[in-house]
Amino acid sequence: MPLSNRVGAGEAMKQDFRIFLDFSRRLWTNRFMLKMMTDRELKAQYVGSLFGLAWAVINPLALMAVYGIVFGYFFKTKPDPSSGTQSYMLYLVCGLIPWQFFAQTVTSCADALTKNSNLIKKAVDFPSEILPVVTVFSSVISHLIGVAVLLILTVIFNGSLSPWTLVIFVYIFFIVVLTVGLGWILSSLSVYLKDLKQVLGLVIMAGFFFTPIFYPASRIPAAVLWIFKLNPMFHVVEGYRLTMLAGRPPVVNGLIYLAVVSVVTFAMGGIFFRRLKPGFAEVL
Amino acid sequence: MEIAISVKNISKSYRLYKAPPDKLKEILNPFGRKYHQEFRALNDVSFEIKKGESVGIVGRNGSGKSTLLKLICGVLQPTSGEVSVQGRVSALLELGAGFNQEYTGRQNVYMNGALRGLTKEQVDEKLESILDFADIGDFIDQSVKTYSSGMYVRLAFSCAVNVEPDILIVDEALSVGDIRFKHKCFRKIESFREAGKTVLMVTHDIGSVKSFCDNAIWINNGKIEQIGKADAVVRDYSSFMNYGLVSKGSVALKDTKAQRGNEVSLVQRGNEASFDADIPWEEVSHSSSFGDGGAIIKRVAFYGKDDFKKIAILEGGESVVFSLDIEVKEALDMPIVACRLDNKYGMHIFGVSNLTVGEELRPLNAGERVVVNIEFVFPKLGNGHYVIAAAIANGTNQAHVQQHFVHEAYIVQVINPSVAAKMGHCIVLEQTWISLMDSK
Repeated sequence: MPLSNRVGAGEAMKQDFRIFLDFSRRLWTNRFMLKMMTDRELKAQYVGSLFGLAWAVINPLALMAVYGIVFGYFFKTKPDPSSGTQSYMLYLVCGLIPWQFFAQTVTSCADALTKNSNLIKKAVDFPSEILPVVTVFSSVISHLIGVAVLLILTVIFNGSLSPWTLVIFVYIFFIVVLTVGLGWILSSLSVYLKDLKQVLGLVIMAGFFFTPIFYPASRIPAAVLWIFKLNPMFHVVEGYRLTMLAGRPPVVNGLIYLAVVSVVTFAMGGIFFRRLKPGFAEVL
Repeated sequence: MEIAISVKNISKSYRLYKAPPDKLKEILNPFGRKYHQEFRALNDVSFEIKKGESVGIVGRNGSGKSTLLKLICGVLQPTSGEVSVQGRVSALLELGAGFNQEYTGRQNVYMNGALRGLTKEQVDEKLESILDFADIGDFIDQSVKTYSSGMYVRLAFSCAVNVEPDILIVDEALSVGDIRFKHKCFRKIESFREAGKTVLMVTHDIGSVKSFCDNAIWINNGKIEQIGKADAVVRDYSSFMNYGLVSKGSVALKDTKAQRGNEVSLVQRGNEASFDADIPWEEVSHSSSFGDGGAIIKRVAFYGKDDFKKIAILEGGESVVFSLDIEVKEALDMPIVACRLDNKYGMHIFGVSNLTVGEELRPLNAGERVVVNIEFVFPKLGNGHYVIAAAIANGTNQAHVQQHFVHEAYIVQVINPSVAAKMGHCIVLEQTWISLMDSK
């Protein structure tokens, strides 16, 4: 009996793996649609508004100003001595930009399916799994603009850019992998659970405070630091600052942890989505 | 012949909850108590559609037609059973394909193409013919949420047919298009059939089932009521819809080959039965009527002169009988019995009575029960629904008193496959010639 059980579990895993492979393949076969929808999403976000793409620049700057005034000027928070910059503003924005990218992407992913119920219900063979991916891809573009602003600010405040800065593209890659996985889980769950959006809002808000964004990680009590380090965004923010501001190599353990969490989330998200997908048209 | 669509014992049930919180209660209930009621939209439905066949699905609202199409398209999953489809499917489900409301028409065309696995270049190639067919002008660059329902369906249909599907599924979509577009669509569907492609359509337009489909499936309350040749299925469905009756001898057939013919009801008619008993009477008490009440029309019947089979649909040219079963309350010395046929606009098409025939009926005595048969050859009329009114009066043509006049005593539909009958004209001419001569 236990033996047959194990065989069953093995079969299930094999099946999950096949689902995962098929899923990844479908993403590739639908690349034209993916590109088209991403283009369109970006245009919808920026074309037609008065300032257009300028918003992608204005937003991080405005955030930097608000948080900078409150935490830097009122609360006199200081950056890590080891962070490589004396400017709290730069320190802050360097954590804020990747966090905003993550938070916004995850939040809008949760809506990705419910917003497009028409397609899911009426189009034959619609690959609904690309919807969260489209959301992630279009936020990556906005994020890259934010990163460009960040690089310019770094040059202004620090005077130079370190070659280690290039490593942030590795981080971006893993955030994308992570958010696509989360996007699949959240978007498919929110089809069934309307309350998910509210809960997600709370979690994202808490995440902002429990990730060392506007305060240095050195302020976290050593006893609970390991809990904070479970949060993959901890390593992203740390990595952005180390490579970009301090010009130092990233913490390898942190990067490996991020990579593992991202890939596992991606795979689990894919399988999860695939399992829930057959019921979408009925519930939406 | 290859099978294009095969449906095996599929059922689809929905869970209905009294209130949204019940759903959560059911999930959280530790004892697995059920809070839902099961609704069976489809119940053990099986059939096969061969490649190149065109099939119409009829049934009243809520009978499960759209659910069936969605299951075939794979948009919904069956609760049990199996659906297998061979070939590329293109579908118009519930008034329009899956368009993204925010996208412009053009963007939706590209997305639709991408959905069906076309590359940008391939869509580019087809774009002209798609826009041409849809014919919505500059609106193509507006977002589709600004479209009228007609424009929406034009574009959707155009996309669906121009991507060269093997199977075309159309759900009721054409009903919002204007007449010109409908004709265009039907021509397209026709060319699809000629190209040996499979067409599956749901429609309430009985006429198009008759003219465009080889076979038909009638679904009632989630089950197949009848499946077979389009003519036969439509005839029975139509009489069911008009009178709430399934004609005698109609059985749910699982086998496509089995067909019912006239001989079934002929066998059912006993030879010894009286003339009156053979008439397929219909009660008229539900119809609105007026009159002095000197005589009451209890029942009417409209049937073939030779086979005594009730007529719900006819082509024109048949010898028919309209019978009235009259209960006489007061003596009528100069009775007039008549029927009149009106089209759906209330226009009087023709009337027959003993006055028009030039025959005097004998005086009727109080308490008598009589049957009056009016025989005529049904003229060739344009396709559509017609209402037959029945009346009994007393007096002369110039001065008579209506005793009982029943407005909608009987409803009949004309479906004539000839082109002339589909043009929307009242009358269809039979012997017409057209010649072309050289003028010097």
